[in-house]
Amino acid sequence: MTTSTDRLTARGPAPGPPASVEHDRPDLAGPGAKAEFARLFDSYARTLRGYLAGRVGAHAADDLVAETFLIAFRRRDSYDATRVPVRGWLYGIATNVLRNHRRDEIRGLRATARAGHFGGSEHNEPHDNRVAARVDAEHRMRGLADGLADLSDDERDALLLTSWAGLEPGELAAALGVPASTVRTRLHRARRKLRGIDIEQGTADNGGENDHA
Amino acid sequence: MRDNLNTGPLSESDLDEALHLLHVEARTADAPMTDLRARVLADLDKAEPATVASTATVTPIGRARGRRRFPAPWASVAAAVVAAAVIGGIALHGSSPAPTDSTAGAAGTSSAQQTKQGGVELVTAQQALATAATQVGAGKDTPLAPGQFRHISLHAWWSTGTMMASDSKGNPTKGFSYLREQTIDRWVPADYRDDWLERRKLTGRKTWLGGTEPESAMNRPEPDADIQNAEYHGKCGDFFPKSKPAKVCGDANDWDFPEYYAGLPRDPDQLLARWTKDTSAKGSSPSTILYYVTQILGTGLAPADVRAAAYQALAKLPGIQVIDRAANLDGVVGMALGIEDNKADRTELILDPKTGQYIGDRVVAVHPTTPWIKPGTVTSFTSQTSTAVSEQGAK
Repeated sequence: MTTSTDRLTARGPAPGPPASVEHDRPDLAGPGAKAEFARLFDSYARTLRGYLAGRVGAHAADDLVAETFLIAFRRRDSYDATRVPVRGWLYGIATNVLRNHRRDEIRGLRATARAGHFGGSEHNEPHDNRVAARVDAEHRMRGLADGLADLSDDERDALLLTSWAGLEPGELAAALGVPASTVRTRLHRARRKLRGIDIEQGTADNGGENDHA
Repeated sequence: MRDNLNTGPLSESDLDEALHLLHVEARTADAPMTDLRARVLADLDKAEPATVASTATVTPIGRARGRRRFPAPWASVAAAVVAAAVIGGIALHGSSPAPTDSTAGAAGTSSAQQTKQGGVELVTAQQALATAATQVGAGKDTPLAPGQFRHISLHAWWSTGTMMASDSKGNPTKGFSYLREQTIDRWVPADYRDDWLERRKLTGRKTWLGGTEPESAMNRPEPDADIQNAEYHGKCGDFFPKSKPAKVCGDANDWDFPEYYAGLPRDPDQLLARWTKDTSAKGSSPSTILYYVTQILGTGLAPADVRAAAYQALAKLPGIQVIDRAANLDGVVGMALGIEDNKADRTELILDPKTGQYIGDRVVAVHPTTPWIKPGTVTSFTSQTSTAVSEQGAK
């Protein structure tokens, strides 16, 4: 019980990067690049895989981690250590990689929302905002999945990179190459939209994709 | 794209918590990194020189290697958490209870006419709600003395399940569903700015609903057991104080606080208009409004005059009718009111006909998309009580 309580009370936006992350700005252009990338893998691959698994599923996450590191290695000359910690740079690449898997992600989110209606309660769920409401997050989670699928790619990236990957808005802005104000706007907009989800009504009938072309 | 709902009930902390739970198993799976590390380093060995590769296009590795992409990424990894979302339940006793069909005897009942059973005139939903409003409105809630707590005790049977495969539309094709019993006790302090307490417990009682797996599948460990067997504290009902932005104490849009109820009109027409507006993003259908009001009553925090006005407002909903005059909420019998509108599910509000008090709710699958859930299955069932106690944690 203590464990779960601690886990829940620790919830919320992930804390900012520790000093070690903020100051991890290696020279990737030097001759020891491969060894440096092995270190980067050991430092960041597990959390990156978790983040990617959350977005496109565990089955695809390994592929995307490998793809991210391979692209990072190939583009290591482009890394500007003065602009962004290496972690943010890696997540920026991963974000671009994810764009090629948007359909998978949307499909997965719809499946999650659909699975949430498992058991036959497609329309009216029983107990949100009731006695149990505030901590019935698994219930809300299903509505959230649909809401995430409805967000624009930029909004979804901003929200999940901060919430799941723990990137600070400033780090995120640098990683994505956009102004910090843009990131804040995307975050604000995403949260406003998601807070408006009526998870009880869900979108059980909306099993298709929403690509936001 | 869904419209934004500034008046929506989801708080910032709700959102953060839901974000935390979404696909949490996939995100936190502790799979070995050894093979992946070897693969990545091998890839780097084969990589082109940076100067050439800087213009390389992004090629999905999975496809490049001919791997089949998994259509529903979480189906087998995080489905337990995903599908373990509490959905529906049924009040069942014994080892092999069966879902009931609550529509029997109620289908086709006109909401506007007296109904007759065995020659006995039966009240309509409008009459029942009017009576309940009078009963509730005539009484007054006993105010909590300083130091006292309102104890809201919820007893629920909610369904859960695992989806192991789905079709292209996300409809489950393989998996299973079952019901599990849960109790949730909340103690709200007389001064809501003080510490709140909530205890949640899965009793371990389960009932098989169906599926493509053996019935024993439901005996697997509950993936969210740590969350559902837990105790939460928080001043102002803020169980997750690290969430940002913080839950606003006294927020007039938060059903946890008296400010919300203070802002509601007591005139039934105005109240219905308010709730129609609040649910406009979802079409404000009568069943949507009924569900919305069920949630509000379910907080156990709405004052008597609001509850009375709510009943009067509900009586104005087209199609509202008595679904079941003796709905059994795990031993607590009440009158079930609902709206037959042919949607996937029908939510029923359960009133105690003797006191007019809200005592629970029930959900019936009308058009289930899960193949092993039969139409008419009761998929959710809760009963609740609200009492004043002098000690937090006391029952």
